[in-house]
Formats: sequence, C-alpha cells, structure tokens
Amino acid sequence: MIVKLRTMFSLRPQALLAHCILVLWMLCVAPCVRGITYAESAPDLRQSCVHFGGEIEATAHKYRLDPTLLAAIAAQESGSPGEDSGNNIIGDHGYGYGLFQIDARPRSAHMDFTSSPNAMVPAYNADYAGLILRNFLRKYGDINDAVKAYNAGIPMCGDNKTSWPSIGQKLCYLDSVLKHQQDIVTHQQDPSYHC
Amino acid sequence: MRRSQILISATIVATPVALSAGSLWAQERGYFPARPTGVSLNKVVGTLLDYGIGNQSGSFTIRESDGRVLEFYVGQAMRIGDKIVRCTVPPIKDFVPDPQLCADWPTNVKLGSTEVRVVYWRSEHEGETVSVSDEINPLP
Repeated sequence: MIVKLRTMFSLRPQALLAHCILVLWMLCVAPCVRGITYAESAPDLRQSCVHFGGEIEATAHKYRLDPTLLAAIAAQESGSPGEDSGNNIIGDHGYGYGLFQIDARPRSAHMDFTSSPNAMVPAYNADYAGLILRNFLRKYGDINDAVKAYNAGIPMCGDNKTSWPSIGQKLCYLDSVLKHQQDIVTHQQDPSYHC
Repeated sequence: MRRSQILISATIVATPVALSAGSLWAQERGYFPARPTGVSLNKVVGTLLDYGIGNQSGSFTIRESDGRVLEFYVGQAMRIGDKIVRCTVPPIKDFVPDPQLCADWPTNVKLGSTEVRVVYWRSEHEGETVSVSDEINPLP
C-alpha cells in the first residue's frame, strides 16, 4: 500500500513518512497532549458508549461542568435527536467546526482557534467548548442561561427549530439540549441499554 | 504547491470528516448576516445592556429611555466605535472573560451603563422580522 501511495503521489520517502506521522499524530497523540489527558478520567460516559465520552469527561472535569450536559450539547451541535453525543464534522456550511461546532466565521475571537488544526481534534474542540461554556456560566451564574448563550451569545432560547420525532415536537436550543441530557442520563441508568 | 503538501493539507481537512461520513446532525445554519448593499438603515439610542457571540448567532440588547428593551442580531462584522471587535463574551461588572474569548472589547464601553447609538436594518429570519446591527457607536 505504501508503494502504491508513493507511486500515486510521486512522494519521496521523507514526505510519505511525514504524512504518516501527521495522520498518527491527529488520530492518537493530539488528544493526549497539553494537559488534555483523559485516559484516567471518570469512565461514566464511555461506559455508556457516549461517542467521544473520554474527551467530554476530561473537559467536564477541567471546567467543573456536568459531563452529561456537555455530551448533550455535542449531540445538539453535531449529532441528531436521539443521539447521545455528536460527530467530528465540519457543519453549518463550512462554518461549524468539530464535535461542538465552534463557529469559524472571520472577525470572531473563535477564529484564532478554528484556524488551527486542533479545531478538528475532538479533545481540543471539547476543551474550547468547555472554555466558552465556563465563561458564560461565570458571566450569567446560571447554567441554562450559559447554554442559551453558547448558541445565541446572550440568554435567548431561540426559535423552536430542532424537530424531535420521538415526542412529536420542535424544541428550542436549550430545551433540545436538556432533552438530550435527559436521554443520556436515562441510558446511563438503564443496565439493559445497549449502544 | 508540491503534491506532497497538497496531500498533507487534504489529510488535515479530510480525516475527521471521513471518520464520520454519513452522519446526520442537528446543527442549523448560523445567522451572522452581512449588511446588504443599499439596505435602508435605522438608528436608535439606548443603554447597552448585554452583548455576546454564540456559535449560531450573536445578539445584544439595549434599553431605550422609555424603558423598552430592544434586541438585535449581530451582523458580520461588528464595528464598535471606530474598530472591528472580535470579542465574543465581553466583561460585565465583576466578570472578566478569558482573553482567548475577548481581548479587544473597547474600554469605554461598559455593559449596563454606556449610552450607544445603534445602526441597524430589518431582515427576515426564520419567518420573523428581526433587527440586525453591525455598528454600535458609544455616545460621548
């Protein structure tokens, strides 16, 4: 396969090696460096099969946030109704980065973060989302207001936009996040729940 | 650009996306509208109460002299006074934001007390008429 790759891209061995190292760094090393270690953190979310549970647990621990709430925000941002977490994707027509869909529009303070490769590394993405949420929590002193502000900048519930087929309702951002959180907690407490 | 550089750049972008291809997600399109060319502009004066940029939209509120609170969406890009401001969570009272999130909030603009003149236009968003602003001018 390596020979094939070399032939396909006419790469020198050094370039191919650099490429392989970069891929390995992105997949294995980056999430564990700069103090964002999560291997030994609380295993609850991972035990209940929450996608990126380790990264979310580590962020929750660092910023003293509820891990189920963070997972619920990830589910709202890059997952879908019924999911317990999110996905590492570029959404919002190219402007939403990663698990927590950090906004990448120019002339925003988030641009410093989203212009780095770390923006698409789930551990760093979660860490940055935790920083945002923690700041809004410090500002407003209320976690529900902080969640609203994470989405809208100030505590606005927003329009009822997220459609939940399971309950036949459209929910605003905060209510949809809380619905995700309720489901995550229910799944954690249900020994028969299989992911 | 050499092909090896192209390959590495493409990998940075493609790897995370490829890992989750095919997923559905709830993320809605963000709302940070740019000022349309030739749009009719309005002005209103009030006390700037709150301001913040979220991951889907940004908003701020002012209180007019008659006590009425007006809400505005933040346009792309926001000019406060004579400069573009990138701050997403400005200071208020005892709260000092992390510099990563707010390093350029004008020192002469205090949430809760500074009188400002807001330049805004009307727009449609999610079926409703809303006010959008990309210019806040503190009054002397």
